[in-house]
Amino acid sequence: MLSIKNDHPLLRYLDETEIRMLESVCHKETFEPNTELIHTNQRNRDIICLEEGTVSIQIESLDGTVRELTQIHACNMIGEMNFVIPTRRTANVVAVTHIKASIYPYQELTRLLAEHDIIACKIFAAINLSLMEKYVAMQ
Amino acid sequence: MNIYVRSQANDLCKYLTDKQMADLQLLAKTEEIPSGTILNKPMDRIEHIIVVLEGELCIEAQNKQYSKYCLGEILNEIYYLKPMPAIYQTRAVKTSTIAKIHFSDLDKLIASDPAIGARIHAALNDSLCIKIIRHTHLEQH
Repeated sequence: MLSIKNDHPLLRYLDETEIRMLESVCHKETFEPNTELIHTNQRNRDIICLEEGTVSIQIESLDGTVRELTQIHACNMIGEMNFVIPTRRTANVVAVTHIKASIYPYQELTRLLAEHDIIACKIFAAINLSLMEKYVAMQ
Repeated sequence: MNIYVRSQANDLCKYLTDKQMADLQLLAKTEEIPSGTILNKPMDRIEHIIVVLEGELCIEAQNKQYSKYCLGEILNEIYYLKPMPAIYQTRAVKTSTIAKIHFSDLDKLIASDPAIGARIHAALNDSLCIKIIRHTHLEQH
């Protein structure tokens, strides 16, 4: 069993050296309340880790009505399903509060993971934990 | 997961080489399960990942069937990732053959070779995403 070393949703199994390697492909962004981090149907497959703040996950029906599915808070990741499976984004993600986020671009991240099996194992395990928590919450 | 290419039929081994899959198969116990057999009940402690090799299993609770699992599909990975009591009952819908791998054996294999670990966790990523999509689909209908 991999040991958890920190409370970061994506980097939780990584040691300091490995975290520095991941930081080389990550960029930080801030979002003001009511701005979109993700829009439905985008092809983007980046993983976004919330460092601070809360986002609302929303879907829009054909008549334009917006329904909130849930809210996600700091220390969680969003977008990991699109990272795993190549579909378009299936929901809007909108900042509820001021957001600080780390964004891991798909191309750069997968290139790094393809070259480093140990890091890939730990990152995929962290994604699994996040997916598993979401799946269990749906039951 | 796009960084590996599928090379094996079953979903747990899908990204493993023939040699890596052979290493995993050494840990697996194959069992034939008669139709109707209950493999676990809700709240049971789960200790094995299951791969369906033949037949069909289903997960159900309170007489409601949630999902069927057929050739090559994986069950119980959520309990491998986070030990907790079983949410569902698992039952053989047809006479089935399954491969069971104990969580601790899988841990040892993953720890022994990160290349295998990365590929198994990538396979579990795919399996969990499909389960989430299935569940969402069920809710919508």
